[in-house]
Amino acid sequence: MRKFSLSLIFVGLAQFLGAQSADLLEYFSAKYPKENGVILKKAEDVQIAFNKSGELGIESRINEERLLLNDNARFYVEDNIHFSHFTQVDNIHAASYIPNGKKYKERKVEEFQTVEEFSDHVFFDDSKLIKFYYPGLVKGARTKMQCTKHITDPRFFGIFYFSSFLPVEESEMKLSFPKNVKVTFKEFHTNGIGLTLTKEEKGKNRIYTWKAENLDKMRSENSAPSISYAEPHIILFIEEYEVDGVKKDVLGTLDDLYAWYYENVKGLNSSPSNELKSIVDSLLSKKDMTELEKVEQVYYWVQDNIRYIAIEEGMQGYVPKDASLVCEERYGDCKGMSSIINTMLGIAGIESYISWVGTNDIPYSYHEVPSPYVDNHMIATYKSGNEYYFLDATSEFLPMGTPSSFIQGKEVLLSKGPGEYEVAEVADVAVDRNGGVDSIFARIEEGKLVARGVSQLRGYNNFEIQQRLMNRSKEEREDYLRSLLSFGNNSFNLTSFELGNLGEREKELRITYAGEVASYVTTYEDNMYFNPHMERDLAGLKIDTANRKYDFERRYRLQLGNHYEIELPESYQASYLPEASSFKSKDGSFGFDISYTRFENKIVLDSEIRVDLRIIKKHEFDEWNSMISKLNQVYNESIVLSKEPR
Amino acid sequence: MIKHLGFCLFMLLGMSSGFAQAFAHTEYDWAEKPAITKTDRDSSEALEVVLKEKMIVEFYYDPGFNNALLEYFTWHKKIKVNSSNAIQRNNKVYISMNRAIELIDAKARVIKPNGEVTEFNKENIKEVSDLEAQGAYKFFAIEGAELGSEIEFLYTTKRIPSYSGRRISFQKDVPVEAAGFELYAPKNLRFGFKSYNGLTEVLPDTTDKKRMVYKMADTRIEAMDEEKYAPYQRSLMRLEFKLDENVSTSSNAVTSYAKAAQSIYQNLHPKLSKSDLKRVKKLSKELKLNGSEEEKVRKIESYIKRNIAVYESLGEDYLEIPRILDDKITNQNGLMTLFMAMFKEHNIKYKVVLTCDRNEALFDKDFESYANLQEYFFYFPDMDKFLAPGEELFRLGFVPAEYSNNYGLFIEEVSIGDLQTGLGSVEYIPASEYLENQDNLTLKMKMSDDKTSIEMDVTREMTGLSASFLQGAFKLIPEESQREVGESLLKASEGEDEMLSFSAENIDEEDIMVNPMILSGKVKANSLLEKAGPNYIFKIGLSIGSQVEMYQEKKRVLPIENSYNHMYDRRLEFEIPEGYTIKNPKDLNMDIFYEVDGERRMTFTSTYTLEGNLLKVKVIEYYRDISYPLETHANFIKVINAAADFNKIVLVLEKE
Repeated sequence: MRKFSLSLIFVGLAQFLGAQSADLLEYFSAKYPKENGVILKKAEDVQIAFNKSGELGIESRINEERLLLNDNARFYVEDNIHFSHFTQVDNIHAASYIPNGKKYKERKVEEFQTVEEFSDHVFFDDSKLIKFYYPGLVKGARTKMQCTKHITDPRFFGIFYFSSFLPVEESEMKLSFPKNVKVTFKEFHTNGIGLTLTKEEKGKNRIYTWKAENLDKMRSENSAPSISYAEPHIILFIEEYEVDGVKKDVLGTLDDLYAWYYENVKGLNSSPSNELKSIVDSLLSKKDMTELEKVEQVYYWVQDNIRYIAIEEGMQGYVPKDASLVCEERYGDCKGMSSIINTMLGIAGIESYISWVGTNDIPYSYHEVPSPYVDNHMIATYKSGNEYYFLDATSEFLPMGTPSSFIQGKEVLLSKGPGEYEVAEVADVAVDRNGGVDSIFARIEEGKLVARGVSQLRGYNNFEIQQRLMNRSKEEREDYLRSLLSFGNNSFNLTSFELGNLGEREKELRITYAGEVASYVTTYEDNMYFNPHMERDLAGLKIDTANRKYDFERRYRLQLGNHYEIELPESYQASYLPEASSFKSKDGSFGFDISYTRFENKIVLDSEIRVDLRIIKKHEFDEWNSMISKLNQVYNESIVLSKEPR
Repeated sequence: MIKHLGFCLFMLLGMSSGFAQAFAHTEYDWAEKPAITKTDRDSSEALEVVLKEKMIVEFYYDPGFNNALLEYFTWHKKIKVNSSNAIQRNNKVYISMNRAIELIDAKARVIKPNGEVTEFNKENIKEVSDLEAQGAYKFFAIEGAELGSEIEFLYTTKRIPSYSGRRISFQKDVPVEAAGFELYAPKNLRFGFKSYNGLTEVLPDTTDKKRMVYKMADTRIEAMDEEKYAPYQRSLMRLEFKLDENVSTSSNAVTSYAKAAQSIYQNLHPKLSKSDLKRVKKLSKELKLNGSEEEKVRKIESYIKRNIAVYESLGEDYLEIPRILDDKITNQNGLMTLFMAMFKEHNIKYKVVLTCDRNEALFDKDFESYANLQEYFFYFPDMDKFLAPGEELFRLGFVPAEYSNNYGLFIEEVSIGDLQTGLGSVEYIPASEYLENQDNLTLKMKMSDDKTSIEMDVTREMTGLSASFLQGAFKLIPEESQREVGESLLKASEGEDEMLSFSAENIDEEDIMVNPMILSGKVKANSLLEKAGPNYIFKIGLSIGSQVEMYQEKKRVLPIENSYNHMYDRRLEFEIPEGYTIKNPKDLNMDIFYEVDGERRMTFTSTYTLEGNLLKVKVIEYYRDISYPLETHANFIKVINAAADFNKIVLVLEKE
């Protein structure tokens, strides 16, 4: 009973400094015994209003209050406010509230320091953060941070996540806007969190308030899709507004988004440089090239010659550089690469399209979220008949016809002229186009396995490994191959190797090699024991169902084949051979087949593993784990060879 | 790096000649018409070659700055890029503007294989005032590089001088065709130089009558690759220099450990105010400081490390003790001040110790460069123990391994009349003994009833440095991460085994680096049992976890270096299932070791006993020395590989 009443009181009290410090700590320590802290309130109060000159302004008042529950308080001393070119931050207030008898003592933060912090893989961008330190934090202390963010361009409005890196007690998003502004919103993953929305009208304004309580914290889990795939959030759009009776479109439909995007690319590459023209001429000088071959030549040239360097500054983050400049500088970001491919093909009289796409980190479709939140990448698209070629030169070794792995399953927005666009879908690369086949031919010599092998790589496996090999010296290559090819146990010794098709994007890399594995076979009296599963693909991929919050993401669909032939030592025969084994998931999307046969003086093992999905959903975890368990059982079966009686 | 060592800036005010000076950087330039350089390394196997690397340092008195000593620093580098990685590594230039007053000039170009030159556009220089709290930077990307191109840049900054000990490494993982260095200084300043690891010596050049000139002739340097267990960084050819003498003020040994001791002492011992002392007394009372010196030091250390967060960007006012204690944040100097105020209050005798990371350089007893004075420690002579004030996870008795097995500058407080000052001496910071750093494993194992796995009761006990990054951190990380730690330390195979239960002991504040940290749990080890017809193969060798191997090593270039002395004591017990016998227990016997003067310095020894159906295996492994010369490296590899060989031992359980 006491707990019930307390929870009612505290949700209300959390906003007041009058709450008794010890009670608050006691209540939340009991509620979250294993957490370092709790976010009492996470709130954003957004005001959309017209200023005196009739321009639309967006102001977002942010408020976050934490309570620290244990002696790890010092890890929450540092806090940051992030912003970039399209937002300005002011009105920052931050303070600590230190338990002092029954009350709290307020300690204001006095110093705020602005530092630049570039995003990953970016050479330069304009993202900055304001850094500050909460003074005096101890167990039971609270912190409060408030600031106002001004969004200078309504198209960059707005997204709100209800949860956070600590559990959130109360989360609130409040939006107030004039009635002549049309605002729409979309909710994501808000089912089951008890989200409420109240709508009211006050004078000329409408007010929407979303509220949720008791939100589980975000986790950092390996191989998890980005948080936008699972954490509750809303995206808001200003569709249109009216000034002096004139309607202005902002972003409500894909038409609007495209119209804006088109502005960023329409003037591009109007007069390509002579250098660019002469490069195209020399690339396409061979006679009788098909159009597809020409596209390939241009695409590969860009991959080989333009280095990836990303500079994102203000609108530069949205406007591609001119192709001639990219060519001269020999570097560019995704936009620059898209621009140069498009222009070079244009010089050759081949039609292609500058295109936008969201990588796998972004879950939305273009019609669902027609705003800059929907994408983060640019490519060029070439269309031959009904076939689309998504040309992404930021991946150096990708062959024509294969999209970058991180845009599989995503939509691409193709620019076809003013007001004219197309949304195309990137299909996942089919399961049988990724992976490879390993063949090992081995014999047993004094406990040692002496083997020849052929490893053939397919799809993403192929490109990625080729790219690694291409960039290495002979010695580094050898080290890399030793770890790549290693099988059996830790004493794999690579004695020779040969690389077929290296550097040819379109072909499967074929590694022919010889190696030895010491102490692989256990001999006792007249028996030899050895495990024929020299590689244990997927063996360690059991998913921890008890503790996992998110789905499990794999980079691509994949099919792995193994063919092993093991020659028996003279006067030995296989006295025990495991039984064949297989697994197939109910919908057929993953499974394996493994069989053993005797053939002349050899034992032959054939195995095939198929994983025909990219995201293993939580409801599939159990089935997935039963496959992995079964696979491990198979891997744990040894073969017994016995000396034939004389 | 210690900031306050720039203290003597204004001692070095000098006379400017009054005439316009000619500066080395204005006389120096790259080739006007560059041509592709020919080198015998220019093949596809040398994916990256530094064709030229030249640094010019010029000290001068600047009339525009009250004749204060300033510095021009010039860096010229030209790199041949034969792979796409080499291009990516070299097509960006970052210029730290941290001490810089002005970027005098920066230029860059690319010489393509066909001889065509792309000049870089100065407008592309980007600028940030504070990049990830590392200070101001200017930087740019270099345009136009293709495979086989040469990337070249040359820039000069004018900056606050640094002359108390600078370290410049010229050797890298790629070859250098010509590395050069020049230093210019006003006539009254004398510099000292030392070349390490066989780098060409810097010699005075007396042809210039107006300036002191020192030069290192262009030197060809081979690439050096990294090796496992090797002191890589400090073995690279490098140069150090420092100001030795100002003849116009006849102050010699300007940069010396004795001078450093005095100035560091002054800096770290601001006169404490009454309010400082009052808070020190109050804190002492709160902490109930009594008992032995060790108990007191431990309490002080615990309190400070658990409550005060250190941020280097915090300003001067964080040197006041009331502010530090109220805000619970401070900077490094404030941290030192607080520790020392507490030690003094309780008459605890200490010395302040400064040393450097031995991976980067060994503390040089003779060449008294402040580059050796990087990190603060305390030494308590009465306890003969060290304390690392800035290391949150360490406690009294241990410093991070890289700051031990090296010399350091020990600064002791001495009184001359009423005056207190610091007296420096160079002393050794020993590495901790192998017995202090143990990682012990107890496994009680049996076959599961369904005969598909091995059930293990696992206990892992870690002490000293073997627990240093775990024990102090364990209660700070979320529960799910604690579990992950358990998974990685208790399972034989992280992917394939299942951890059924898990607990941790001795993870409280008072246990850190005092009591062994104990992780224990039950593991279903699917990876350890194989079926072989009617028999079973028990992969007992893998039960201790996968071991490092050095089987296929290239010709070793560097000596062996362990980060710390350590030992493993592993006790394995296996209940042989009824109806089965172990056919090959003798495979478990191993004894690989290395002796010096009849004493074992490292060993991997495995022995077994059979008591009824209980198989007991004792596996002892230890390394008692940090370094082994190149000549004996094979012995180290032999012992390391013995552990990896143990991994391959399997027992055949034959059905009776």
